[in-house]
Amino acid sequence: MYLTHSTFIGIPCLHIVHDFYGSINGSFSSCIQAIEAAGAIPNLIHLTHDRTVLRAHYERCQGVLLVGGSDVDPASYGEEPHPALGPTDPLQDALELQLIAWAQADSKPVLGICRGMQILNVALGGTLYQDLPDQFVGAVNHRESATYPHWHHLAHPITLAPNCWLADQLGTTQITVNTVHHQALKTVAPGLRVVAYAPDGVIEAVESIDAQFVVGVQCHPETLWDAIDPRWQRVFAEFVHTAQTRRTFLTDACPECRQQ
Amino acid sequence: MQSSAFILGTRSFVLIKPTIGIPCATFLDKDWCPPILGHRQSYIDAIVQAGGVPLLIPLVVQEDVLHMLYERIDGLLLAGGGDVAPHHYGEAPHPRLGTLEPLRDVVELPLTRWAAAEGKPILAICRGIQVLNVALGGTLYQDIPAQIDTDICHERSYELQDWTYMTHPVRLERDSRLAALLGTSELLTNSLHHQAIKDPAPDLRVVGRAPDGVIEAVEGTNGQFILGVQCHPEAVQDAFDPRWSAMFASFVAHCTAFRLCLMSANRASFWGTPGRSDCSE
Repeated sequence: MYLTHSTFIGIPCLHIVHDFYGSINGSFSSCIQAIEAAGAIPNLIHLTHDRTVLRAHYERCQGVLLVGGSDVDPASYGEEPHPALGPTDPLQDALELQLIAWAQADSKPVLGICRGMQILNVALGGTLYQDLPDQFVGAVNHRESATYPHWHHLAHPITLAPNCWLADQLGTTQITVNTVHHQALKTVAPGLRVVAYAPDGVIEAVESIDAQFVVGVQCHPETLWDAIDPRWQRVFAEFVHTAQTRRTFLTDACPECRQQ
Repeated sequence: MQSSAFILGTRSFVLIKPTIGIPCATFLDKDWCPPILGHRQSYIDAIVQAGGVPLLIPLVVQEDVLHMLYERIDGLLLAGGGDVAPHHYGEAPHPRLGTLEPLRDVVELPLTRWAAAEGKPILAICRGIQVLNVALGGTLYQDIPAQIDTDICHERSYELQDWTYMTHPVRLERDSRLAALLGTSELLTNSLHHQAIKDPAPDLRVVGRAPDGVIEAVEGTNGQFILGVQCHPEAVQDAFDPRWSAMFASFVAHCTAFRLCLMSANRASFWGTPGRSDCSE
């Protein structure tokens, strides 16, 4: 574990509506704890239309962690809404797309988890399956872990490419993960490559094809690293370390990737 | 800290947006989702409308991480929530004690003490006024109906599920900061609490009370911007009772002034020249 206590990681909030408390901005405690345990300072970024306020948050942060929330609005990848599309949040979409654009321009690392990986793909020009059960023939139940406490249930294996950053951190190319999603990547964005699949062919992880740190995973390692599978600790720690040192991750993690 | 410089004639002005820390509460959304750390939009909106940058402070567990967050804020907004654990003010739990937020206590109490010691402005609302009082050495009534003889139901707006239901009047000291900001020494407020200040902390002055004597507002005594209210002005300041927006505006303005003073003190210390060492006023 690195002592990188001057590293702020921006975590955009999601928006929920409580019966009495009304609109609430916040993010999952599990993600916040994962970032703190990895040696960084979690910087929640509330949803806002004010670009000056958003920019102030962005400038404080050395990296961005994108996590859960509503479904990405299919309009942002040029599709009509599917009947099984869940609730969308245009403000969270817009804010995260802006943060990704800034982070890309400044080479700040971005880690996307679940919805986070999906919006990363959309930001860079990819598309999504709006509903796996309806649109992906032969898909296993990708919401299997939802009903288990803390999403601790490991539902299916994923197979990683041998020459990717993620496999390097996990120390394996085969790992069993939890799964809580009904959407997934369809067309992969030009700047990304698939580095992991589920047995049914659903995309489980992507990485940048260039030297910039952009990594997305479809599972929820933020609920696994402490009790279920400590191998994920290194993923968070290396993300934080990359943010702190601003190194380009492929240079030392995965020399083969650069030659693709 | 976000700043932008404008050159007007021969003088330059720097507009500064101060960062306002808002410690998080814990919310449960869907029963199949992990807990969410965050806070109500109305607090965030009130700060943005007043010209600040709200920074939600998550319930981190390491004190050095908390202090890194503290260093980035120019003012502290203590918001509403559950009860403060009574051991923080040396009492055993009363049978009518409500829901506790132990992780939040250990984030908010140090933040409050650091801010008070350094002169960073503090605005405290509902649970916030109670945290403020406990952090500075005061005590609380653990349950108003059980411990105070009163005809007023201080949870009335909650019972009616209406943040804009004005439950009772509050009388303010005429020479208080709050009365000056609101432009009145008496007004009606909403009310959503079952605890209240018992013994005020030594450095707090009681400046507002309900007709039954329950403490409704306190202020710092040393010129520093420390202001606590028991009602929920963030729920009414934008439309229902806009007088309260002046309180948020003044809080954020004091946070800006604190930041500027600190920058000037740092500059003075860098150049070895005399400068203000106390930014608390």
